[in-house]
Amino acid sequence: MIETQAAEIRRQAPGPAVAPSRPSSMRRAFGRTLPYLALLPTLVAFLLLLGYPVLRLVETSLQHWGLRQLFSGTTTWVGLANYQRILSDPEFGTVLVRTFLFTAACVGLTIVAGTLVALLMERLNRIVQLLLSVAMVLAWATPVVTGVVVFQWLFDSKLGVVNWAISSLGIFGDWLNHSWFETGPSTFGIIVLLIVWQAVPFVALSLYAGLLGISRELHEAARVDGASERQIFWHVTLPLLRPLILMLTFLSIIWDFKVYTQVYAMRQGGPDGQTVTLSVYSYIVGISQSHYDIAAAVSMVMVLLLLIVLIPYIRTMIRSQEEA
Amino acid sequence: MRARNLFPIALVALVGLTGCSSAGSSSAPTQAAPAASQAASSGTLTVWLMNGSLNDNTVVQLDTDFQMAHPGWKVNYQVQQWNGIVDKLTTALASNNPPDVIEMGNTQAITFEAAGALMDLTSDRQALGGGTSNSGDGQLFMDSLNSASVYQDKLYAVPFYAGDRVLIYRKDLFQTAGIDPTTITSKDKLIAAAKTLQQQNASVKDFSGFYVAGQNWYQLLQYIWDRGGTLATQDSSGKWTANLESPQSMQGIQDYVDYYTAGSTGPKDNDEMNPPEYTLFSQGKVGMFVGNGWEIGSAVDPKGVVTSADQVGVMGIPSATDGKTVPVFLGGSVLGIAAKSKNQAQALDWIKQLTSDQGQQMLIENGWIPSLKSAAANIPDTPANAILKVQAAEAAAGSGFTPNDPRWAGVEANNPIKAMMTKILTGQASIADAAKEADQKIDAVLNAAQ
Amino acid sequence: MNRIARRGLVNLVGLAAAFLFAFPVYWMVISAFKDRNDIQTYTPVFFPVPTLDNFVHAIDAPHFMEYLGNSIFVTLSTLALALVVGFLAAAVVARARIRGRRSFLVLVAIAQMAPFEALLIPFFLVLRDAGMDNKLTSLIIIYFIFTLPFTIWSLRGFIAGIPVDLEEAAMVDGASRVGAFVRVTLPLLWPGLVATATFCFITAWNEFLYANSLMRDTYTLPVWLVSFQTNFGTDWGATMAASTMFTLPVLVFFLVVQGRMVGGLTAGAVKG
Repeated sequence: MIETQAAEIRRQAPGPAVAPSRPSSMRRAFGRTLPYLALLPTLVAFLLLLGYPVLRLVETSLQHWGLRQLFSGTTTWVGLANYQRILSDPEFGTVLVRTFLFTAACVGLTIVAGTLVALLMERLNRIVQLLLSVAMVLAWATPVVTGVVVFQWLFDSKLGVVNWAISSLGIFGDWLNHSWFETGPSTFGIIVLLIVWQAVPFVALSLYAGLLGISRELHEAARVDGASERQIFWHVTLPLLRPLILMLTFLSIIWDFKVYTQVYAMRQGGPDGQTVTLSVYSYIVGISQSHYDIAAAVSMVMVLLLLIVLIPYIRTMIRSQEEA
Repeated sequence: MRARNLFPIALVALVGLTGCSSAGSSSAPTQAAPAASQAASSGTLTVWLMNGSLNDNTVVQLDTDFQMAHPGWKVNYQVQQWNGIVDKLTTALASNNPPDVIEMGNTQAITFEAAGALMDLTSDRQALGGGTSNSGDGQLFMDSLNSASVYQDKLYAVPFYAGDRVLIYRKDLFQTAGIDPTTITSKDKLIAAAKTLQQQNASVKDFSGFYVAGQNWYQLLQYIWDRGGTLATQDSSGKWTANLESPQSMQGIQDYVDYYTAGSTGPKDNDEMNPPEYTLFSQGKVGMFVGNGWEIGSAVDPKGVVTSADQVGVMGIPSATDGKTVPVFLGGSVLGIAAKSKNQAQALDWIKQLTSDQGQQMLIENGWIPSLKSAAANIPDTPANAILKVQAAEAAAGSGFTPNDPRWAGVEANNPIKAMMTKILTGQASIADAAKEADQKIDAVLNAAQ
Repeated sequence: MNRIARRGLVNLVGLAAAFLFAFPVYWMVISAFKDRNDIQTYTPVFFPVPTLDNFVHAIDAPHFMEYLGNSIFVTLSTLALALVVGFLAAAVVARARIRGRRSFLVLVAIAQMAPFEALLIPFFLVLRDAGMDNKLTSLIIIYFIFTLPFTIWSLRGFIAGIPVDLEEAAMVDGASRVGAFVRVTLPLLWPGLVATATFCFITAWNEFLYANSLMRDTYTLPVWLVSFQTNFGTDWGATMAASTMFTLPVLVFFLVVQGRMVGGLTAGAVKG
């Protein structure tokens, strides 16, 4: 009953802003301003509390601004010199491409694994489901730096459990001295694994929450119509989850593009600078030497890149949810 | 602001001189009292020391002495964490109510000195016991600490304490193997001893006679200096040149490789803290290693193989030249006074307590090489000071430090020396090629526009 | 028969997944129970003879209780602020077809991209000039801004996922618009609220950079967490013990709100 209604209403034009049956014009006026009042705290928070510091950051990126300027209070405008310095760095292009690939790997794996775990959650009995939720929350809640250290231990070349386990299996030979951190791709593998390990819980629990919102009767109806499990997933579940998946992908792209602690703490950008991503680059050329101007310019470039990539995506995302 | 502060500081400097002359008596710190109490009759002095620097007893003693000498004054003492300390000092020093006395690692100090975050102490040098000049014969502080305190020929910090690495070995294993530790006086003899230990302990799985981690770049630097090499030098125009590819440096790198290949089970792709060397030592997997003084305390563990300090011996790190020790990397800390501090006179008095004779003894009791060369040369000959005396003797024979430039932090942020070491040990590159590549990277960072 | 076997297999896969997520956490916890020099060994020890030394050491650290109190205060305040403000905005953009809605969402998206590591110094300067540095309130405000964009996007997604017709059916029965939302949509929103709230909780609970750099006299627990790492070696046993204790409140929080979630779902199902 309800699900067919729901589908119908979704296809209809957007509903009215306020309930139609309110006689008094005073109340109507209030009703019309009410939504804006609800947005006001957010607008104030963003424009004032966040907007001003961001403006200061933009300003910093156009000035010569280091520790000395922090203490003297006098700065000089340098135009786009900081941007020029980054963009003319031969390393910058490599770092940029690397960051995009890294982000794509993290986001792709997180979303796929998160979806699979959410679907799995739905089919588990209560006890296993609770166990899996608890395990995921624990992984999610592990302090980032501790997580990095534990992964370093697990993948240590001589004292790591992973090499010990692979060797003990006896199928793949002796891995006891295998170094996971000797090459860039392998090191990235461990970093991606760490990030995905901590990112999947949120995505999986969110998608599971979304699945719970999808009426069970919708599935039953499809099943009565003779649809297979696979068909139900592709034609019923996934389209309904699409807005949520789009939103989670969007958030993951932003997080993974900017992620710093895990990447830097794992090997300080090593081996030989091969795991330097944009945020690590910002630390090495900027923050570590108190060059706040350069760090500001790098972060501005990062925001611009995110905007260029994500603006069309944001449109799709908003539309997908409003048309759904 | 500046003019207002000048008077009390000058006064303290003057009175400080008399304080110094009577130093030695236990009441030395009280001498500075009149000056401070004239500057302000009461207040709170905020002192930030780093986690692990001084034990609680010493701090209580210092604060009690200070409060007795400065009636009406209180000391707000706070321990700071090493993790994230540069960001923290940055915001704290720039705040309107900064801590008065701060401790900085000697590689970090230059950053704040160059930025103008610290009070200029040049005129107080003599009152602090540091001599009459920032360099040369008039300079009385430990050289590495002094160079970390001086920026553009002005004194912005006061040397606090130093520490260096020693050769830590298992006395009991030496005895069983019939090795006399006093005979280990050169590289060749060290390697021979390492191999003997390995034969004797072949039954212990993963045993290293001489444990060397693949990326212990502090240890590498010492071998480079031992061969007469340098990390980087600066010409008169200010341009830096990294010298890892010089023949002397490459010889030092070869020494490192020789030590490693003599049977170390250390990871080629990781440093001395991963895993911590002292834990392997404690587990009985290590015969000798190069470590800091405090690592002995960490290694002795009633639940480990090394259960008593009697099993642990210490000696100077042998040079390639028979009978000498290598120049050591002198780590440590310096103390500074915030440029924006409102209690600079009192802050100076607090610091002076540590450069007094009594203060230097306190540092020795805490296991540190004291900041004054004279005190370091006269560490009392007690059993408790045995390790410290070895450390001080090494430092007196020669020590070195990383390039004193704010940009050096950028080199360590993504250390090309560590990358070089792994490439050499894994055979990915020859010493010459890897050293040349590392030099280029260091040059690029050290000569970047400020 | 086949169906039962399949169910068993699915639950087995669920257990395997739980194992994969839990193993690094397990490694953290058993490391906390190991003797300090036996944490990293050539042959891994999976079931150590437990010692409580590390936990005692971790709790013994100065100011532990004070920082714990601060952490709870800051985290819960952040959570309350972010959820209330975020919920209002999310409900409006998801349900009301008002003008400027899309621009607002784009603004929230841009706020989500703000580079918080680089913003440390600008934030500090603003707070200093306002005399607000070194105050827990400032941390709450900053964490609130950290988590707000996410909260709005996330809650909006969950609200939009709940069919509006359920509310309208209730309104036909005489409920007001807001009343219908509270009675019909809110219970169905619980699972989404749990995920969102857990996210905000973890973000505020774990934040180190601002807590360490903006505060000077008192701190939150992440600063305690790094206090076992010094230039003179790291006490990994104490660090792991501290980390273990540090993650527990998050788990407790999740289990409490998750309990509500199950209750909420049952309520929602009755209505559906």
